[in-house]
Amino acid sequence: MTISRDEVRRIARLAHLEYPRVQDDQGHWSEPEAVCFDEQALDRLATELGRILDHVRDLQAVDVRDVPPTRHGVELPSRWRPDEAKPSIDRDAGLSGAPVRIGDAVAVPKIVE
Amino acid sequence: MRVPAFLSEALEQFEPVIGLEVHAQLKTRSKLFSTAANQYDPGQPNQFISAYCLGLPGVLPVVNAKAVELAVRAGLALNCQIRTTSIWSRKQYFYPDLPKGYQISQYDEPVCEHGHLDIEATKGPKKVRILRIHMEEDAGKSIHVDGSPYSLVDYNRAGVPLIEIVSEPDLRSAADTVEYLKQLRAILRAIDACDGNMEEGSFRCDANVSIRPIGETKLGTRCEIKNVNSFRFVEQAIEYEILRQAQLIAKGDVVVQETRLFDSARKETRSMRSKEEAHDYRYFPDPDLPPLVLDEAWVDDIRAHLPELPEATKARWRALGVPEEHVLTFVEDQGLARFFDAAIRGHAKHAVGIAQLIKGELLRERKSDVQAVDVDALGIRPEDLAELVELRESDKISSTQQKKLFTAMLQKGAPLATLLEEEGQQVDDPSLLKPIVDRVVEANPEVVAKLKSGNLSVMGFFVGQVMKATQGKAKPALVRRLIEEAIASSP
Repeated sequence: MTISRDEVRRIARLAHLEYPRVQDDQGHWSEPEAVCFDEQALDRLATELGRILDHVRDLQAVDVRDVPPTRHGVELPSRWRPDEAKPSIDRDAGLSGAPVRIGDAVAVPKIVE
Repeated sequence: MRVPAFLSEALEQFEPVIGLEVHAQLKTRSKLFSTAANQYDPGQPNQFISAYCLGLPGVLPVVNAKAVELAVRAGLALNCQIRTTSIWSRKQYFYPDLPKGYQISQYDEPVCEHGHLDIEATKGPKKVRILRIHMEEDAGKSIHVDGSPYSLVDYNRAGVPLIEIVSEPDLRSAADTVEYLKQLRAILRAIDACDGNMEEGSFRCDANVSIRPIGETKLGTRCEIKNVNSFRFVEQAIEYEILRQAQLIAKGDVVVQETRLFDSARKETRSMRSKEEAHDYRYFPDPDLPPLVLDEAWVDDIRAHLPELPEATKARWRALGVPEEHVLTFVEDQGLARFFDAAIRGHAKHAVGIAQLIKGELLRERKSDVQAVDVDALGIRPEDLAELVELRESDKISSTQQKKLFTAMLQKGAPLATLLEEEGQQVDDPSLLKPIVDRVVEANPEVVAKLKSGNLSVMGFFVGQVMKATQGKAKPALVRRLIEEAIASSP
């Protein structure tokens, strides 16, 4: 199946593929930079993605009209629990993995301008 | 085609088509898939979080039974079919408020489908079809601070149980849309599924708006409007959008399918991003969660125990003669509705007086003092309020006394019986009142003359004077009779 360069770019955008921001000595973050593939890379990725889709197309040739979709490996219903709130994890511990913390919030590079 | 300058002109040429997606947070103690508290407190960010809310490695979701019950309750109250087997799906998108990188939602087999809500539309009764109600977890909240290079994220909301109620595009005006939302919120409140607080975001609405030339049956391209957190803004946003789209089409441009944000300060919508399609979210069944299977008998039990719904409540109150304005106010507020019902229990014939006292006095107090606090917190017992109205309507106390007792009940939080003892009952003994009446009549000969010449409006002056002298305790009807007698016998 033929995938266009634009489709590869769109998939990259949906996956938010971008170079990570870096922080300088003053603590300022660089602007996010979208991954720009050169045309050669785009063509290579288009071919690879096309091959994956071709494989799926081959699978689609199998007649599964009367076969219900297999959603899970085991035929069990979801387990339920009673509606009880339990103490939260310690906030400092919870936020310790955040790259930047301001007050009690996780700080992330600005999302909207 | 002329370019409409105003909404009214646009509506001469185009028919708006509106569908709604309403997100309602469910009133549970804990979150949908974790035991972290479901609590709103913007002053304490990241206070109610678990490893699951933060998407830490190895966490697994476990379904909150109460959330399922509330979703089913909502489905039944909205005339939906309940699926005994529904599927949890992952919706993938990348955003800092979603640490797992996916939201657990329901996609192709939601828990409730094919319902409807009957509303009083501008042009008469209307059935708005409900396509589906599905369960999902809320995302965290992003806070954007002006001038800062950062956005702040609070995960207290991450994982809070939601239902998303999706209507068919059956609405045709901004006013009808607001009516639908009001009625929907009243139902969710009545069944105790959602507190319906739009400002705090527990009841949120996205509106899909398109227009088409009048007479056209094909749907136009729609825009989704997000970020509307009051009924007034919903109305303004939809009206702006109708006019914007009408102007585009009349100029020969096309409407682009996109998500638009409502800016309440400028009263306009603006483009946020091109709308993503369902396939962009790459939904697939969540491997961590097997199907949600409901026992039919359990669903039947929920159906059997559904409380009275707002439409039935309104009809019951109207039958007691309660004015429409009061009916609509009370039904909107669950606490108030319960208070009113408790007050009229055993006092149905005083329902109108009770409604007027609540609306006139209680709500005025609430506005000036403790707005949005439950009536329970005011310390007035509904049966005392009913008793107060009964005393007044059987003329055992005057309206002045009623007001005074009401204020005392509010301020002291004391039972009516105690206050009545303290205040002393109404004076209805003619031998006690006659001397006072005579004194007032004697002291005002010129007013007596006016009354005798047929100016009946000055009667109020005499009644007022006697009331003042008795500190409002005199029985008004008796005072009036004694004044008439005194004047008739005066020279």
